[in-house]
This record gives sequence, structure tokens and C-alpha cells, in this order.
Amino acid sequence: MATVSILARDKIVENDSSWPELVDFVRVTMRRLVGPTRDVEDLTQIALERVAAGIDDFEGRSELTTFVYRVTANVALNHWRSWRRWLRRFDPRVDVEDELGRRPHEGDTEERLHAHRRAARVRQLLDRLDAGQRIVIVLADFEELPASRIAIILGCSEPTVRSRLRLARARLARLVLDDPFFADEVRR
Amino acid sequence: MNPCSLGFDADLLARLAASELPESDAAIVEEHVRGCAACTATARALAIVKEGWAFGLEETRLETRTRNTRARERHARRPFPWWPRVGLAFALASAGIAWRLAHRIEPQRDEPAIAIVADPVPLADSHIQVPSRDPAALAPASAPPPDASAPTPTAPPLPAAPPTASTPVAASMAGPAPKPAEPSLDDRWREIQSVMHTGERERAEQMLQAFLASVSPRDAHHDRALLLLGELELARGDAASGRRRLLPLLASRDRQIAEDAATLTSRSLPDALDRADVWTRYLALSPPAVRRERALLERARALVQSGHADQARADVVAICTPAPSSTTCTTARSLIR
Repeated sequence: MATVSILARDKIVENDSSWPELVDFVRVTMRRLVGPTRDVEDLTQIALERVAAGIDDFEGRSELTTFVYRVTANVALNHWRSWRRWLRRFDPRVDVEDELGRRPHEGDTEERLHAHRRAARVRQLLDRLDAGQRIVIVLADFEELPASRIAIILGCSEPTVRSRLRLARARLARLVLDDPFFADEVRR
Repeated sequence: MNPCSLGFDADLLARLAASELPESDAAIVEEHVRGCAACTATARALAIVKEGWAFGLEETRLETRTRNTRARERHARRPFPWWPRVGLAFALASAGIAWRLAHRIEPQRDEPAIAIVADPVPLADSHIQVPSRDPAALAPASAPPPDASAPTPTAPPLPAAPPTASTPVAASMAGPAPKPAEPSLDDRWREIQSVMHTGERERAEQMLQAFLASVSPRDAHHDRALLLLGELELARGDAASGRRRLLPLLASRDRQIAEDAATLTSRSLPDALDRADVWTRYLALSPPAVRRERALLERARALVQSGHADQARADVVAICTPAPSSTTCTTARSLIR
């Protein structure tokens, strides 16, 4: 927060959006894009710095949330494409609880523990998707944004978004169907 | 699992779930999905992914408040100013350069100038091998001294030169005979060394005298030649002449030669106080740290032998203060015990 310039803050205020709200919006968006991982705080900070640096060039032709989505999505894409994250796939020390950013409490019920592991497993499967496909499926299926807005956020055409979304859904469904963790649940 | 008989894929099912299909198409697809195991499994898989993704996304209010508090504390922390870092880096760099200069390692010479004179006699606590001062103990020179009464061999007369004046062109082209090239300093030095290796010391001494007479003190090999000549004279028993040659070498630019000259000079003196005086002269010329330490040790030894243990103690303190656990310090302490 301290890295954001006063000028940028004033600009955001001029756009009828108060700065704390914007910070919260960036944080929530980043958390929804990359999940509750250990990196989400760092990524939020990076996204905030880029929002502050680029807010002067924001002309107001689109919604401010679209602009923030675009910055956040680019930060998330860079994060997924980083080789360190790719290498982490092969690190056996990264267990499902760690990947979720916090360990389940000892007093959690059996159902909650199962939900915890299930969520971690889903994130592991999402990690195996291509970064371009992953951002599309997160924005479309989880954030429930329309394809036209996703195209603006990602800076590509709408047919490209639809094509990527189709491929991503097919691959993700195949990954879940082939995963023994979800075998009983899928065939129920 | 068998694929869908109609070829419906995950994308179509997701659009059906998101109500993105036209109503007429949605009814048909929905009806098919109910009876198709593959489509049902795919739809369930997509639902699992959505549920799993949504788990843990929302933060509790306590988590948000904790994180915000930590972030505020982190940003409120005063940043470390730049100038102490620069000052620290500068001080470290200066100390490193000073240490490097103080412990400069000099390149070793290819071959010791002293060891080739005679069979080496090991000296106690010294890395230099000095020849015995007794000329009788030295090995005899292999080459006999030149005898002045012996007839000088003369070369046979050359055959008469063919007449070349009959061809005027050839006579005009024939210039004066070229002078033989004088040997360079390096060649002469190599020649002296080869003579030394054969053991012809007297001849080597003559050659060294001739060599020194023809070069200036700034030339290469001058100091080394002077050291060798002084050493030969010491070995011959002419200690006064040898010392006269060696003493100026204490100020030689070649630190190894300076130290060798000091060692030879001091060892040639029978009186321990005179030996200490030689080392004092050497130390006055500020030798490098390692050589200074060795010179202090030799001076302390000479002072102890002359009965001046108090002054020797000051040298031992000077040796042991910078490096109390070194071998030189241990040796020095053993002198004054």
C-alpha cells in the first residue's frame, strides 16, 4: 500500500472508487484467480504496484474493475508461467495442505478435512493446465465473466477465448475423470 | 468409460449448466445427458472442480484483519538508510586491499642462486642453504687452472681465397665481412650458469667479474651475478671481499636476493653482534611482512647468542604480536626461554 503514489490514489478517487476498496478488490480478485496459495500476498502486492503505475494511463473507456482484472490476470499468468512454480510440481515436500496455504485444524470434522484435500487436489489438477487455458477457465467458470469481457481483459478476440475455454474444459474434465481420487465421486 | 455416443463434450455441458444454450437445444441436450453415463460423469467432474475451487476462497474477517495489521507494520517500518551500507562496503573493500598488500606473495625464482655453488650444508631454522666456509671442504673444480707457460694452440692456416677480382661486378658487390654478433646478456648469463653447473668455479668467477664490469647496476642479472660472485668469494675464504659485494645487495629490488645477501653476510660473520647488526640494516629497509618476520627471528637468535636477551625479547614480541600461534612465534619463544 505504501508503494502506491499519492497521484495514483487521487486518480482512483476521481474515478469514484476509494483506495481501500480498490486494494480489497485487487486482493480478492487475486485470491480468486490463484487460490489461497502461499504466494497470494506477494502477487497482490505486485498487482497493486502495477495498478498504481498504470492508473495514470487508464482513460476510463472501460470499467475500472476490468482494468484491475487485466492487471491481476497478467500477474497471475506470469506467476503460473514461472519456472519455479513449474518445478514445484515435482517437489514431494509440497503436500496438499501446504498448497492450500494453511493446514487444517485438528478439531476439523472428517467432512471438512475431506473438502480440504479435495480442494487441494483440484488445484493440483488446475496446475497441470496451460496458463492461458487456466486463466480462461478461472475467469469464465469460477468468476463467471462473459467471454466478451474476458477477451477485453486478456487482450484477445472473443473466438480465441471460446476456443481456449473449450479446450480447457475438455482437458480439465479428462483430468478429473482419470484421477483415482475422484473415481468414486464421479461414478456415483 | 465409453465416450458420448452423440459426441457432446465438456464445453457443451458447461454451457448447458451456465444456461448459455438456446432453450430448444438445452432441452435436447438435457434429455440426452440424463441417459448418457459419459455425459453425466463429465458434468459431475466439472461440478467437482467448481466446488473444489470455491473451497477456502473466502477469507474470514479475523484473517483479513490479521493480514492487514501485519502489512501495515511492515510498511511502517523505517527503511535502512543507504549510507551505512555504502560506508560498510567501502571499509570492507579498503581492509581487503590493505590486507592483500600486506600479505603480497612474490613469485618464486626458478632456481636458487645459492644452492648451485657447492654441496648444500643445511642450516638450522633457515630455508637457505649456504655453502661451507671451508674451501677444503668444497669439491674440487673439474677444470684445471689455465697454465700460462703452456703453448697456445694455433689454428691451421686457411687456404688461399679464390681469385674474385677477375669479375668486377662480383668484386664490387662483395662488401666488408660482417662482424660476429655479440652475445646478449641473457646468453652470457646462461653461459655463466652452465659453467657453474660444471663446477668450474674459478672460471665462473672470472666470467662474473667480466660480466659485472660490462653491465650497469640497473641491468637484468646484475644483482644475481653480484650475489653469486660474493657467494663464490665467501666459499673461497675471501670473506671481506664477499661481504663487500653482498652488503649493497641488502637494498636490492629483488626481495629474495636481498634476503639471501643478508643471510650470507650474517653467516659469514663470526661475531654474533655483527650478525645482529646485518639484520638490523636489512630490517631498516622495510622488507615485506613474511621476510621481516624471518629477519626478526634471525636477529633475535644473534642477540641471544651475544647475550642480549632483553633486546631479543623485544623482537620476539614483535614477531608474536600479529600472529601468536605461528610456527615462527613458537620458534622465537623457544629462543628466550
